[in-house]
Amino acid sequence: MATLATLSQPRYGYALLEQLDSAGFAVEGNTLYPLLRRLEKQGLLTSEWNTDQARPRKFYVRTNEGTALLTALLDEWQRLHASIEKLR
Amino acid sequence: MTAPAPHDAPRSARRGRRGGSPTERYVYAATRRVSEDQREDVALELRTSIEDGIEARTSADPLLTPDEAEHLTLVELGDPDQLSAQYTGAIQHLVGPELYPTYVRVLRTLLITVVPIAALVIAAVDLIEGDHFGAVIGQAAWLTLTMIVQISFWTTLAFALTERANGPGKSRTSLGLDPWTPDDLPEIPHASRASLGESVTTVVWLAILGFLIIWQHYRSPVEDGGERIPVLDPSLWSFWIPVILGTLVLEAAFEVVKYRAGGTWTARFAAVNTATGAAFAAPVIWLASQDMLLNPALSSHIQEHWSGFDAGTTHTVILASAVAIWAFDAYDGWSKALRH
Repeated sequence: MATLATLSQPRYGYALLEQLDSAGFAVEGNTLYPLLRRLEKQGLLTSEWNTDQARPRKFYVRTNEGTALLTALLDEWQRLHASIEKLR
Repeated sequence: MTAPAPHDAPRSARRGRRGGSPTERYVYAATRRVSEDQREDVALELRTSIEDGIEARTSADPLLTPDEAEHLTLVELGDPDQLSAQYTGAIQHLVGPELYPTYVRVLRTLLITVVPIAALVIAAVDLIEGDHFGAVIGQAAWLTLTMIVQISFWTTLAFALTERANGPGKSRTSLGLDPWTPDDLPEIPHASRASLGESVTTVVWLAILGFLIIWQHYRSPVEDGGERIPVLDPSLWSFWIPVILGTLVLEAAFEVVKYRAGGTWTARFAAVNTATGAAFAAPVIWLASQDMLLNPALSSHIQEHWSGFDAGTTHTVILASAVAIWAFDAYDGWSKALRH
């Protein structure tokens, strides 16, 4: 979910890892890189190779389906949060 | 999406170490099991990510040598085999939680029924033979061990294959893309746990029976002057034993078909079960009624040690058992079919 939220802008693997890390999500590379591939396979992300820089990098960005799923997940999250708050 | 042509060799590869740099070896280890059409793409991305990691570490801590930074980055990524499994989505267990209870139950049932029976039968045969007590114990112990290993292996293999045959379905609903509706309900259970256990148990029993038929010929426990005496009449091999082995295979095939069809007993399955059971029982019953099953050499050999042994009585017992087992099996199938 955090991965989907971050990828409104195209990003490549390591940059995404650092961004998630600084946001407080301790994701490890060995989880994130395969996850990106899986999300791409499921049609939630699309990717493109960028060879302009010194190293060729694979940039991932959210698809419309990815956005739809993110919205659904966020709604669910909000509802859960609201329910918990009511109980306190 | 295709990967760009391999760019100029990465920094790490230029160090010219024997067998490639750690990064190269890591990338190789992590991608060798990825399917060929994706391998280069995954490898390129992984290599870039590792180099990004090394760079970030060296710029954060200028005292770090490139080799140390490379080492730390790879340690953080962890076991390449695990990474590889994540990429390929390979199952990382032999028998998963869904099948595990059935697996344990079937294995336990088979071990506590088959092994003691077989060990006792062998020990009894050896005692009648007049073997030393120590030799009898040794033989029985060896057979027990062999049976445990064989049964455990084949049962585990059957379950591991079943685990891999039913791959996880990745539908849009399971990803949460579409709301769930009753239309997504699965078809009537592919096979309940009970029926899988039933099928595996039956197939393993059939395999053991088939194994015993072959084993008694080549490795008969009865010996006379160093020569093994087969339990069943060797002349049966020209026709009857192959027929009986064939019917065992037929019964095993029926179990697989029944399981794949959903594992529930229907009237048709009960009818087929009665027929395949009869196909196995009929030759056995006929041969027993004609006193043709046991090896005459064996009968006379046993009579030397135990004058009360009578081949005719033994054949009657075999005949009655075959009829009883067939009748029970047929009744069991019909009663399950009619209950549904």
